[in-house]
Amino acid sequence: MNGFRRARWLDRELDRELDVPLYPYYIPRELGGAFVSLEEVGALVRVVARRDMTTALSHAFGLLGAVTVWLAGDATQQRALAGLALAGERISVALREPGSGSDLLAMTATARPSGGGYRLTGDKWLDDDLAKIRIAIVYARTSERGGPRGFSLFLVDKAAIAGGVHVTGKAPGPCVRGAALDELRFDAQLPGTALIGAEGSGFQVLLTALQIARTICGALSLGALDTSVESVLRFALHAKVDGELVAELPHSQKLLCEAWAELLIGDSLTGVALRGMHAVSSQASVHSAVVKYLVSTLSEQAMQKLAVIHGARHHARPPDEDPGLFEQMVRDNHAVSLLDGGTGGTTQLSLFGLSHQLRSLVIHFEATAAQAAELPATDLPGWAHHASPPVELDWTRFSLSAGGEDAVLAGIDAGIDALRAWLGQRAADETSQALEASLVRLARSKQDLFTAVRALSVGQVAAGHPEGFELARRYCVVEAAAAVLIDWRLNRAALTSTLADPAVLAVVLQRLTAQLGDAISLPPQCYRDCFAALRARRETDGQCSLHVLPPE
Amino acid sequence: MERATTTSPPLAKAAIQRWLQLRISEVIQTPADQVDVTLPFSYYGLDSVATLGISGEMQIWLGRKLSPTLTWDHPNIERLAAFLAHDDA
Repeated sequence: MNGFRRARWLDRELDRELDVPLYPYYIPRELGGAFVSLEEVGALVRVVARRDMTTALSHAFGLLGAVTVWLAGDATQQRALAGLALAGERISVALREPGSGSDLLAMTATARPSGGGYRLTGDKWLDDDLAKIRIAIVYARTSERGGPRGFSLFLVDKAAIAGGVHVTGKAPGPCVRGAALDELRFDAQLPGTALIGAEGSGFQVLLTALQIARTICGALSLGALDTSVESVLRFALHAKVDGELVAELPHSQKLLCEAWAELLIGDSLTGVALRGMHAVSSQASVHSAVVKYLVSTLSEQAMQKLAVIHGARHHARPPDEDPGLFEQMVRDNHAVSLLDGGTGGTTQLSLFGLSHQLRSLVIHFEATAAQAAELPATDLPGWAHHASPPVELDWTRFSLSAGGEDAVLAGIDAGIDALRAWLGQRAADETSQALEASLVRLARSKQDLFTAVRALSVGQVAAGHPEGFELARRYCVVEAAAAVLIDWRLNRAALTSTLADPAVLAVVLQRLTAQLGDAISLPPQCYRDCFAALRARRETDGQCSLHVLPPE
Repeated sequence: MERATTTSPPLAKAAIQRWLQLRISEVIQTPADQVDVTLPFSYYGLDSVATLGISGEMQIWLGRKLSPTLTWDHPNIERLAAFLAHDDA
């Protein structure tokens, strides 16, 4: 397939993994499914992504398609989709087109009123193998003029349009190894009942569904990074350089600690964002953009560090003890952005969307700063507590703008104060001093960010000025710090081997402030202690994640 | 940004129109008086995502929840201001 070998074992693996009944977990219970929370869905696909990104992506596409129907479909469509999925039929999405890439307002495939339904014509890419799916959610133009009200979504049952769609080729370019990306040509008559939501609502519904899919993307990247950290740690613990174990080299320890810290940051941020989708759904446009940008970016940066430890083996696949697992994860992680309907630049799209909300986010934050600063620890959002049951998800509360509200960032000042107070009660060792210094820098960077956003003009943002992207990037980092501090304050009793360990937390905060261009140099003891914590974590739990995940 | 003081009665159409003209004037770097209220937001370089941002700021200014896609359904200053001035939602 397009120059990449399609390994047969992956097909078998895919079929076997898909036999694992994950579909019920993203089908609402009232429709016969077993959905509990998006956090649980994220945890499940993360576990799959640790082993095989192809299978995880297939589920993520299925989730994206299903969510459009939960968001906007009628009761009949929801029952039909749930029934088919629970019977084992696969769902995918046909959003992008060969000639339009991922520009959702440039798509040319058209659905015109015809015979009480629609005539669907045009070319699309299917994010799967047509032979294996039954249901495709198809995005098509329903108004010649286009625009944000010019597109609609359709629930297309392949079995009902036999002959109305055929495969014309495979999407060009690299994709996840073993994954299919069929190019389709439609010339099909659809019943009127195929339309999802109101005619012209497709763009809005899709942008909303992508908020969930983008956040799940974080879980996919983290699964790949988790495997990578574990794989390279295993390598470092037995490979030698000049007679010395790679794991004993201070530089190796530092790189492994940094990669692990970036994994923990991603886990914390993604977890808080997924829980927030239930409790503060209307803010998902912000939280999803932050996860999509930062987790993708941190994962790729972490993998680059791990590749340094792997050395030449990163390029020459070792045939024996590790059949190219790390290399596979590095490659597949690059393709996670495909889920967004893009080509790797989607992380930048996330920043662009976020840049348009920066002014309102900062205005709102500063307007409520007095109350936020007075938040005692006990007033932290209960929904962020791991032990609390998830707030019932209301699909109608998602919105394309947060209106300036961001419950994650709202607690950052109180989080900094709480950690500082805790440090005041500890012995002033090197690690404590490092944590204190990082907190000073974090607070300063947040304030600098706010000042810069205040100076950002609407014109700069609208014109896609680089400053808008840079400030959105920095907002993502500050938001991640806020998520880490929420976890540290609320959940550290369950995080004794990660964030509750001062040395681990010191590396985590150092990585965050490094992203803000204002990091300290950590004392060597921090890395030694953090590395010991990483080894202990792997030996005790067999995992490197923030939380102990269910066994595979 | 100052908040609009009240939503009851709704702000006059002229005040909302003026606020939007000021925002657009920042985009195109011209005096607010020269912003034509009948031209679509897209004419001024504000695409569907950019207008979501404007909606967010307007929500804070008005002090009430707004549908972020209002600008899609009322795609110029005059129509949006008229809608908001008569909308109690």
